Amino acid sequence: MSAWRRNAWLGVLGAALVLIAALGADALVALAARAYQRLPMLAPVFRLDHERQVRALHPVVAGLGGVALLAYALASRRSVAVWPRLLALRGDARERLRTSAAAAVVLYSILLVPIRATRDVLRERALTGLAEDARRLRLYGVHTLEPDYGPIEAFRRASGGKGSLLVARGGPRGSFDDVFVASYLFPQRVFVRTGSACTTDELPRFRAERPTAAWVEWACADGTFAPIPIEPR
Amino acid sequence: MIRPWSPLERTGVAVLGAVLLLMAWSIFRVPVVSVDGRTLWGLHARVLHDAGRYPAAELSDPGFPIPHRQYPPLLPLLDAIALHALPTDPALRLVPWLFYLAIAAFLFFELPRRDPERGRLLALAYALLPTLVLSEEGGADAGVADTVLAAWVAGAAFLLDAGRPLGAGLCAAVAALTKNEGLVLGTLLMASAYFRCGHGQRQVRPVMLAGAAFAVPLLPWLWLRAALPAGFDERYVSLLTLERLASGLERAPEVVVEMIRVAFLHPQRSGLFWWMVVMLWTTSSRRTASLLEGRLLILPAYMAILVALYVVSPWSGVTQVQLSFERLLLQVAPLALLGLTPPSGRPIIPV
Repeated sequence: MSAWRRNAWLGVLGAALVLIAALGADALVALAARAYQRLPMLAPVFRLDHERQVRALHPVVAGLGGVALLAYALASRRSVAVWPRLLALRGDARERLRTSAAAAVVLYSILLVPIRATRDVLRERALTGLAEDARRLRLYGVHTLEPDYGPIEAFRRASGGKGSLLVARGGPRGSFDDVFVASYLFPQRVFVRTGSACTTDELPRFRAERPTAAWVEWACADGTFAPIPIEPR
Repeated sequence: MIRPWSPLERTGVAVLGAVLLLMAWSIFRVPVVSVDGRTLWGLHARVLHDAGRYPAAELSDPGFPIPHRQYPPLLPLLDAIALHALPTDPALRLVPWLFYLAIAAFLFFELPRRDPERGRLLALAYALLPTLVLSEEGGADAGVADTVLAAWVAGAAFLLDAGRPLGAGLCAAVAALTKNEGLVLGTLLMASAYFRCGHGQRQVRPVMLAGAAFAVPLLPWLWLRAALPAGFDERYVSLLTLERLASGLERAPEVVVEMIRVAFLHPQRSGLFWWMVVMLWTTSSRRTASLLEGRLLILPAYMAILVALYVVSPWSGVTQVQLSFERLLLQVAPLALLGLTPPSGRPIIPV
């Protein structure tokens, strides 16, 4: 078998990468966006993040494709079989096939590493100079069920992180929203009071139930997160 | 005898080195992004660190909105220790990442001894798994528990292979103290000791020894857990009723198809890893030995249990599969590699 045929995998890989790059950055962004049709919960932040990544990766894909095509041409012209040399293959046909399978997995994973690298580099570029809380605000909200952290951060600053927050809810159960709020505000404590009528008449009872609570957030209806102070006794 | 390094192996190790540096840099620069990492494991750890004791008072307070308050405490405990020395985000991301490093180092040590031809490639296939390197929700540095669980599961399997049933049972118990899935995987591992534990074959004694070592540390934890109120728990065990299973059967095909898609067809998740596992197993001359003595049979058994749990899941359709299955696969990836390479030079059941 000629080296051109034995190295065909490298030629196909290079051609595929060049063809993908030839689609153009806009088409690749549209293709990546389709991935979120099946997982809309994770779309909001990742979609923007990935659009930047795809655009940054576009020349990398083209470059890799070009290098692979060049390597294919050079190696084949010199009658060098790339795959057996790359893997130092030995043993019978079945052993070589098994080693090739493991090698293909490694090679594939190596080709995906630039995705991670571009994500981290682009992200760092976007976050450079921001304080820790601002970095968090930029990165949180990956889940469509997450609340808007802007007002929660504003409350954290206004309260100075002092005094527990009581979230009064009308229904029989808490909401996962409360978990997001509690994990964001921790170590400031958040407690949930279900079955509330959400009127200020309840404040004395709340004060008795949660003596450390200094703030109350009426969460009986959908609205902006805006806790109010519980007046001192 | 282990063969010389091939150019691809050398390249793979160099790339892995770069990936590890990138991860280490990211851990100390970027906050925890994973939803589970910050609202579940992270919140548990911070509550534990703040209280200085387990269980913290907040875990027993139904008014404190903490998810899965009945979850096993090991990762939060380790995170809480790390929180003594490091700022919050690096501490929460670092601990699971160290377990990933430990698994990778162990596989680089063990797999070439078991399979001199492919051992290093298999170790690289694990360490560079796209889910581990790329996923923000379940990756090695995401701050979640699946890699930690995988380490204890692999440790238990290795100790069974080495003929150490007591150590294996303890490792499996620690797995169960890491994640609820550890209870299932630990039980399956202990049962697998019947087929081989060290040189011994078809023996009940190692099963009993490993089972006792598995159960004893868990009993106090199960007793303690029973006293904790539920909080945003799916409570899968209580959902596993015949009635729910029967009513969920109609979505079973959809669930299975989605699991197959996640394992084999999503390029950015497991990549080609599970294709390789299937291929290496089907072309192995020791298929039966891999299944029974290599404990590979645990994988289909675990998948069958997961199908049952997904079918009774309160989540609609296949949402839960899409959100969790790639992470569940991570729990058994090192075990699969150990199963594919049952230790040589020992008596095994002929095919």
